[in-house]
Formats: sequence, C-alpha cells, structure tokens
Amino acid sequence: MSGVRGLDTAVGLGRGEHGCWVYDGAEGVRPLLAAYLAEGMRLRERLLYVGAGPREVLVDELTDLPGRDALLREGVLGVCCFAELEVPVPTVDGVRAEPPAGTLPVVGPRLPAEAFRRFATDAVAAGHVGLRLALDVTTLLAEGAITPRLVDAELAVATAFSVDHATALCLVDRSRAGSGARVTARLHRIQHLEGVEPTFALVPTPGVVHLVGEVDTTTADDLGRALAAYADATTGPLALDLLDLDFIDVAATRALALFERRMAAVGRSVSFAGVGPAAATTLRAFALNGEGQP
Amino acid sequence: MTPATTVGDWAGDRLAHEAVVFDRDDQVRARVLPYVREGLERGESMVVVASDTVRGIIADEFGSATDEFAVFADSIDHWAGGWPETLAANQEGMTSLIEAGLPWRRIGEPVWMALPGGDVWSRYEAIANEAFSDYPYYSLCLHDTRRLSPELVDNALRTHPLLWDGTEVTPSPHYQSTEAFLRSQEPLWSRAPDDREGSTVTRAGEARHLVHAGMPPSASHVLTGDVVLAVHELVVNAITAAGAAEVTHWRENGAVVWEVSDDGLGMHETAAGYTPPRHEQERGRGLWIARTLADEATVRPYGPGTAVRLWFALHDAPGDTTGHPA
Repeated sequence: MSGVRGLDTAVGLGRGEHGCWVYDGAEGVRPLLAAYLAEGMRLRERLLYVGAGPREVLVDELTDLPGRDALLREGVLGVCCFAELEVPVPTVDGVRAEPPAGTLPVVGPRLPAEAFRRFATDAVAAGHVGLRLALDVTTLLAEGAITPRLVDAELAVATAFSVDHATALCLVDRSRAGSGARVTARLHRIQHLEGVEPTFALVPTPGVVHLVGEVDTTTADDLGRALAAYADATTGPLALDLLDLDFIDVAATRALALFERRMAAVGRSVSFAGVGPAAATTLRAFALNGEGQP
Repeated sequence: MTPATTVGDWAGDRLAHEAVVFDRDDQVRARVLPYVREGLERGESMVVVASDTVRGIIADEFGSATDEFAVFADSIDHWAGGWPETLAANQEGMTSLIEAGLPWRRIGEPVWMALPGGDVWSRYEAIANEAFSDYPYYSLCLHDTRRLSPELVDNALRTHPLLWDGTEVTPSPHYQSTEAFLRSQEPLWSRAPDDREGSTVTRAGEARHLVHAGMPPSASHVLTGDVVLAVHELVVNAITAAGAAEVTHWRENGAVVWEVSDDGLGMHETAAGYTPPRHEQERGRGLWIARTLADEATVRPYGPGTAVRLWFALHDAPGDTTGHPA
C-alpha cells in the first residue's frame, strides 16, 4: 500500500517526515527518546522535546541521551511544556470570540498552528541542518479520546513542515491512553504500534484532512473516531482528500456517511476531493459526492 | 356491486405489476388513457416513463395536465447506461412518492431492454415483485413487440403477475416465481473445477491479497480493483456470518470466476442483493455492490450457509475466445 508505513525503530526518519510511536509505560519512553534524539545530534539537527511537563520531569526523561546536560547548556537541546506554547482562547470583553472557519479553537487553551515553525527556522538560522522534534502527546488525550489540543499539536507539526527542515516523532503511552493511542497513531502516515498493522492514516493538515492507505471494516471505527476528533478541533466546512486512498470498503464508507450526516446536522459541510476508482463505487452507494481526480 | 376499475381489485396499498403487450398504437390508447384518467380522477400521482409515441398519445389526450405529473419522461433518457445506475435512480425517484404516503400510478416502457446489456432488466422486473411489494403503486409496463425481441416479451409475461388481455386485467398464466425466473436467466451453477485455486480466510485483508495474487497479469488495474472490492465485501459478509470464508477462483469462458462461501446462517436467497438497500437502511450494500461490479453473480445455499459466485469478463485475455461469461 502507498502512503502509510510502519516504523520498526526510532531511528531512520527523514527530514520532512512525521511519525508516531506508541510505547507502553513510563519506562518505555527513555530509550526511545535517547535513540531518536541521538540520531538527530549526529545529523547536526537542533533537538526539541515537548511534553506535559513540568520541565524537570521532561529533562529526567532524557537521562539516557548521551551528553544531555551539555546539549542543554549549548542550546542544541531544548525542552518545552505544552503550557509554554499554548495560548488562551481569544476573547472579546470576556466572551469567547467566534473563531474564523477551519482554523481556530472551539475550546481552549490551544496550541497555535505556527507553534513549531519558528523553532525550525531558528534552528537553521543558528547553523543546524534542521529541527528534530519529539512530542509526548499522551496528556493531550482525555479518557482515551483525542482532544482538540492534540489535533492542534498535529496541525502545528504539519505547519512546521512547510519550512521543510523538520523531523517529528509523536509519542503516546498506551498504558495511559488506551485505545486512544491507536487512534492517535492513525493520525500519522508513519506508525509504530505493537500488534497493529499500519493500514491507513487520517492526516490532519491546515484546511484539509488526508485519508491515506487502506481502510475497511476492521478500522472503520478508528476512522470515525479520528474524523470526529478533527471536526471537534475545527470549525466550518471540512475538506477530505482521498488522492492517496488505495482501498475503502462499504463499512468504512458508512463511517464517512455517518460523519457527513452528523456534520450536516450542525450546519457544517464535508467535501471529498481526489476521488479515484478505489473510492468512487462505495461513495456512490452512499450518495457521497466527490469532485473526482484533481 | 363494485364498479369496474382499470386496475382490477388494486386497493392502492401495495404493488400491482401488470404487463401490457401490444403491436399497435390503438391498443396502447385503449389501455393507457382510461388508466390515466381514472388515476387523475382519484387524485393519484402519475409517473410516466415511456417512448415518444406513448407520451404523445397521453399528451394528445390530457394536454397541459401532464405538466402536473410527478414524472413525464422519455424512457431512453431514463436509461443511465447500465442497470445498477438505472435501478438506483428508479428507486431514488420513488422516495418522495413514498414519503407522501399516498398511492401512485406508473406507466413504464423499458425500451432500453433492446439496448446492449439492457436485456438484464427482465430480472429486475422479477425482483420488483418482492423488493417493492409494500410500495403503494400500480405499475403498468408496456412492451411493444415491434421494438422488443420475442425472448424479451416472453420474459415480460413471466415476470409480471398481472396481464392485460385486451379488455381486462387478469392473472398472468405465464408468471413464474422470482427465484425460478432468475435461475432461468443466470449462468448455470456448474461444478467448480477440481484444479481451482483458493484458501480459507478469517480476515478481509487476506482476501484482498488473495485477489491481487490470483488475477491474471492481463487484467486491467480497474478490473482488479473491482474484483478486490466485490470479493472483499462477500468475505466480510461471510466472516460476519461464520467467522471464516472459503475463497476460490478459476477461469471459465473468457471470464475469471471468484466464489466466496461460508457455512454460517446467512442470507442465501437467489434474489439477494439484486436491488440497492432502501434509503433508510444502514446495511445491505455489500452484496449489492458486488453484483454491480461483476458481469454476473449468483447466490446459492451452501450447506447451512451461502455461496456467491461472481463472473468478471476478461477482455483480450490470451487464450480466451469469448469476451463474456456463459
């Protein structure tokens, strides 16, 4: 299948790639971070680790990274809590302002889409070949459900990639996130999740969400959950791009149809672009209208 | 004494399905005009999908009243290029009438049966008797022997429970059950060859790999995609019913044949999946889609379960002498 692949080790991600690694328990994250960031160090990238915090906990999780303290001192390695990056929801006279369609938060605090872009450009300006980002997004899930904060984080990473110097690995702890860890992995084209085949991805980018790979009756529920999370994090019309979709069956298309119906019930439209032969038959069966091959 | 009507004892609460066979316009006039007039007097909606000739006869009599008909359309425009599309459009077109909750009258003249691939429409005339049995409409189906082959006219007599004998509506002596008619039209269910390939699968993804590996190299990308989806949907149904599916395939008369069978307690009526699920139904699209993608499809009981066989024509395949399944 094209567009979605598994990740066997935490090294080997190329610049411009954005993956997700699902680990099990707090002990699992240390060797993972060490391997991933050490590779970036060898490649002369600037390193940034972002998590819930507090800061000393994040630093402690980097214990296995060789030369951690020196890297921190020299500014090659940075650690950052989500709270430092997030901004409150804009308000007018104490009332939450209505956000522009498609981009801004419904509930806050929220991570601005440009949050990591400045880090990437600063890294290159300082002589690094790029930015290597590790984000532990576990706390951005609530009781196993993906929150708008998590979708924001994914959109912020996608925006950082517009400068083409970033590599990102999102981390999520299955022992705390439950089935939400699997759905989080589905938000990435590159996935590591023990025992789960990386068959499809629903990749959020600003303005459009891309459905990639093969989605069928066994993954239709994950698709529905991922779509609902993206919808909760945005406003206005939703564009779904199917250009890299290799296969979709009736059950998964039913998930799209239910989603479209729920969106319509709250006055939001869903449009389908890049509809090829793989999707045309089942979309037609549910009267979902695509724009065809762009 | 109940006054005579143009629709026999139809009470407007369910489907009545009548064939009219004619070879002169005055025969059409004699049957159709009183039928329309009575419907208008009763305030019933009117749907007319017919040739220019028949619509001209109706328009000459009723003038601008035809503007008020729910549908007054040319048959040939109604043909959407294939039976699945035409059938789906037909069904969709009935939605507002059903929602209105009142009986309606239909005049249909399926001239498309004479077009290439249109002959399969006879099967949907048979299917309609069951699929739409609770829809409150009277369907008057016109068959012009000047346009249609004797075989198609014979099919009409076998698929319509009612027949116009020139003076009144009578039960058709030629009418067959839906299952008997379909079996007479579908490919024979011959014994699968001993050297067929296949295996038992428990996950739908396995079946997709099996199809990719089993399709001949000459098959187009689009054809392979169709087979993958059709077989996948059957396998999903089988796994749901029985936990596993047996998938086999072989070549036959210029076609690839894929069979999916299971031993679960599932739906195995011959007519299963011939019509699209109704609007309100969430499920039931898998077999319908498989039928629309295949050139031929048949459903048979398989022990306590179901076997579905799909034929896909291979065009220009080396070693094949025909382009269509038997």
